Amino acid sequence: MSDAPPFRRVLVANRGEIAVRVCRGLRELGVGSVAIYSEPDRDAVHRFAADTACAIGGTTAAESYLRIEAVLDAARASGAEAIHPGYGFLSENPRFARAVEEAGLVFIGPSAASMCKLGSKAGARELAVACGVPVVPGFDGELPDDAAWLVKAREVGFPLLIKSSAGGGGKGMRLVERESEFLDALAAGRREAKAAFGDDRMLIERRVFPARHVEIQLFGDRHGDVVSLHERECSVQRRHQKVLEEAPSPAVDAKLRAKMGEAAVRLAKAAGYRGAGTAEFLLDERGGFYFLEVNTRLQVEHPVTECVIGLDLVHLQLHVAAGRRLEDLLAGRDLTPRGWAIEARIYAEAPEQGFLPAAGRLTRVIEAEGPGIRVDSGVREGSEVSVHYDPLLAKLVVHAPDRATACKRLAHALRESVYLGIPTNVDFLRRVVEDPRFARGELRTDFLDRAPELVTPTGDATPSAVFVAAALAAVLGDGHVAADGSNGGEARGAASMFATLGGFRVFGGES
Amino acid sequence: MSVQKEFAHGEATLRVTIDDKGGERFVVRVGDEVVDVRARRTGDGRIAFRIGDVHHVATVAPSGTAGATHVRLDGTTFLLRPHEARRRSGATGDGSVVEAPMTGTLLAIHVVSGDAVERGQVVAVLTAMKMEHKLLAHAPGVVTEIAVAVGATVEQGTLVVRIAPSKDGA
Repeated sequence: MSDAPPFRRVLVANRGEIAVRVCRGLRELGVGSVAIYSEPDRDAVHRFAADTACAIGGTTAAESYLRIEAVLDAARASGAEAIHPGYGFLSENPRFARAVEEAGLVFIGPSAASMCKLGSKAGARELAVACGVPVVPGFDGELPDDAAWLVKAREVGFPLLIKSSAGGGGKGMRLVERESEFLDALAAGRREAKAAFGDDRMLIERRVFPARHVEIQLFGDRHGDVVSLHERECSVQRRHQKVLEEAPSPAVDAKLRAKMGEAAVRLAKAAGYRGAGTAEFLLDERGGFYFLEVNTRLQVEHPVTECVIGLDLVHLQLHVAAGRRLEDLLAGRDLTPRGWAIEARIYAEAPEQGFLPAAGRLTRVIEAEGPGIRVDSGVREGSEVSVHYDPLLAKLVVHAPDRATACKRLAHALRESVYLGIPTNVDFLRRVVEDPRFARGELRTDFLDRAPELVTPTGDATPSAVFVAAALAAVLGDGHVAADGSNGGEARGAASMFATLGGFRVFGGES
Repeated sequence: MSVQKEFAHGEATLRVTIDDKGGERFVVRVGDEVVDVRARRTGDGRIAFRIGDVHHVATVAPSGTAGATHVRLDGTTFLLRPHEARRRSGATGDGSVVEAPMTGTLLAIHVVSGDAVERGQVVAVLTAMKMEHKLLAHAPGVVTEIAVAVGATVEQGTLVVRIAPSKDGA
């Protein structure tokens, strides 16, 4: 790729790990970076990942990262030429994309027009049908009242899924088994969608089952060219939220890869798509695939594609946004997937309590490292995890020559990962990755429903070594090395350990 | 130097005492069990220790505000609660209170005082991190108190609904 920086300065309109990751990409290309942060994010890692940072005020997402005017003001004040939206928040909001362009700045993503075509699931569906891309039976549109929705639901058939027309990530999504549950689920979905996206339009579709979730990474430039960067499989989900993602997919061979890639490219070209995007499909057991939706942004799970394709997708986004041609950017590159990559999403949540999100302070963080291990993290030791935002802490990504090695590498990296102080899903992820069904690649969207013992393991008694470790910590200090090389242990550490490990009683002297 | 602590352990209290014998050697009493341990900090925040021939690696850090401790031992995390916290806990065990399982905003309350509820019935809905969580009655009974108004932000453990359990209900 070219040596000239694609932009002078770019504002990153996001928070957490993705803001940190984008800032890294900007630095590598010699582009200045600007972060924005809300009130609770005053000390957040992403604020300090950028060259400069602008306070935008507010606490909830609606009061901060979703405020278009506040983001534009920050961009103008900081002299940014372009805005990278990350994922979530304003990334798939065509009003925002248009407002950015109207402010004379570059939106790093598709045009508002193609976002409108693809961003609403209804529009994307129509376009898919027109392009000859197979779709799941369903309905997405305006209806006068709930009675009319109930009639439509009967036509589509139960079980069916209710989804938000505007957004992704499972927010607002409901599985409805019976007609009697439909209207309550619709109302609850609308409330959740309204809170998450400010838009409560919903769609319904029949549940294709059993199925795998396979998606195609797309990239388009400003000159009408679109390429497929192949598939990712994201079948292991809980509450329709992805948990583990990998590339390639164990269920996709070169022939199917080409077929799905062609379908996705056809759709993107019809929408005049540019930038990074993802076409999501359900893949049934006979290799039939059904288009679900296009995510018009960089995905959370983009690192697994980067690993196996050998490209930096944030760099590519920046170059394409600056007008470079994919033909030149990808010239001479072999885009065949190489090896196997798996990503585990580390969340502040309690799997054994129905994946209840957790908030609070991370009192000890040691992130995994080693050959073939990448951690995209938005936290550090001492970070306060807020109730106001998505509880994703970090993404642990491994890359290995083959899938079996990748599974072992990921299991080991999860064992070494330390995120203490609040509940996390780390042990749950390890149980899944170490499960023989996962190792065999038997992935389905209902993987976790069929493996409840991985979510809530039968309660083993706490081994006595756990109590030994707690006692040792009290005597050996808090583990942080002081300037004189001491670790704060022994008698000198007594006061601090009393504070940090609450309730240990110290009896002085030799006993 | 000797340090002692009491942990909640099931229904019982577990007393843990550690004596530093010097030279990275410790004697730890866990209840009635006495173990000789060799241990040291590894320098990256972990503790490496050996009980007999078995080698362990652990990290230990405070969890939450109630004096609990997280111990991550060989890749599995355990939560140890101080003995006094367990007794303090509001849960009476008879299903008479419905508490907020997490910090969040109360979205809806589906019952009023005097309502008869069944076990598993949704009595309130809490929202946090853009997700909705249903709060369920733990036992059949009659609602005696609604402690929080819709729209209020509640802390984890806040009483939301009080229920007088019915005597014959199961």
